[in-house]
Amino acid sequence: VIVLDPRVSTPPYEQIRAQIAAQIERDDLRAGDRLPTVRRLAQDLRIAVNTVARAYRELESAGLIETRGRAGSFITGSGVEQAARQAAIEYVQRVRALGLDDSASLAIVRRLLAPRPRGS
Amino acid sequence: VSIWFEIVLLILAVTAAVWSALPTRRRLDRAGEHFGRRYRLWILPSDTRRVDRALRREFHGYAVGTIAAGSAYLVGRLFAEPLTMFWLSLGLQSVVVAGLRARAAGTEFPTVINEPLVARSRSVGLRDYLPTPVLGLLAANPLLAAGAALFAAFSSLPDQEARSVVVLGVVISVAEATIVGAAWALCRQPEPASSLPNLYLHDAWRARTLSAMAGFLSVVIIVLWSRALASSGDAIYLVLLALCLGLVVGSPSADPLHFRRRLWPDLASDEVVVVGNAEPSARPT
Repeated sequence: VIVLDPRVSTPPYEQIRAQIAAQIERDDLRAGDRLPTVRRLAQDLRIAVNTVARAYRELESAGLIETRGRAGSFITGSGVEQAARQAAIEYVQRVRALGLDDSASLAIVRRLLAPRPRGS
Repeated sequence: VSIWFEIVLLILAVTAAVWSALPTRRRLDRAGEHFGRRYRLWILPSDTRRVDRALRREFHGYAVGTIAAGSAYLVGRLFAEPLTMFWLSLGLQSVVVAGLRARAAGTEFPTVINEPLVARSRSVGLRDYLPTPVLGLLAANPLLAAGAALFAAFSSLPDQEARSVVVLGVVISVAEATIVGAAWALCRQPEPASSLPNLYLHDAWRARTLSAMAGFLSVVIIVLWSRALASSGDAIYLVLLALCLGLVVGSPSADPLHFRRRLWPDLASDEVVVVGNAEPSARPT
């Protein structure tokens, strides 16, 4: 369940994002579960559609949900994705603990993901 | 003389139908108590008024549908026979009532501005409110109505009788398909709630409305088939009809708490949800 409290200072999109993320972490929402449509959630919580859309965008860029066209938004699927996300979280925590800034740690990942030249 | 007699009879019938559903204090109390018992709700006095208002709105929808059907009957009688017009207006009444209910869904129990709002974090659909056999019946009903029309078209019924059943079959299959669409649309309406009990109240109300729709549709199908088979006199059809009757009448009322198991799995089966100021002990999925 998502509780939106208009009396707290946290922006509404962040309240939604944080609660959905927490439910995924707690396993209340599982891979394949469909989230309510942006319009429906906006009507339920009496907020603008854009606010919910922003929360969903942020969840999507964090890899927690995926949008499958008109079918709606779903909690991201396979165990591989979940494991990859967990590995990414651990990496970010580790490099931040080492004092590396975000752009430098991202550059490392980019270099590792870049196709290797043949024969090297 | 005959048309005036029919008009008077119609006005009396519409008045009686509306009168019999008038939301008097006693009827509201009884309906509220039945709703609470059936869906394991304890409605505190602070919220009784909201449930009464929802029941009254339901009555208004029924009255509008009945009056619309009566008016349509009167106009239609200029062009068609009484029995066909009776069925046409019954189809219209059910479509109007279902449409109004679908339109009103989610607005029955309004929230207070500036209070925290609660919403479910996963999408819900018809299968969350209705058990699988009832869903199957809902999906099959337009086909059953079309089947009755086909049966009548190729049966040995007298011409006029067969024509009448074919018209009814077509009208009812369209009405049934429209109502199934309304039921589907109803599930997509918002459920603005200010607390978990409030959300549970929305769910229970929605399950009640959908169950009533399914029951009504099924009864119409039975009446249609019994009309189509009335003159055939074949024993096997009558046995099939009796079987359908049992299935159709039994299923919608069989499992009122289906929504609770689907949407509120943490609630104990005998736990009563207090609607008012208290929170239920369980969280919805």
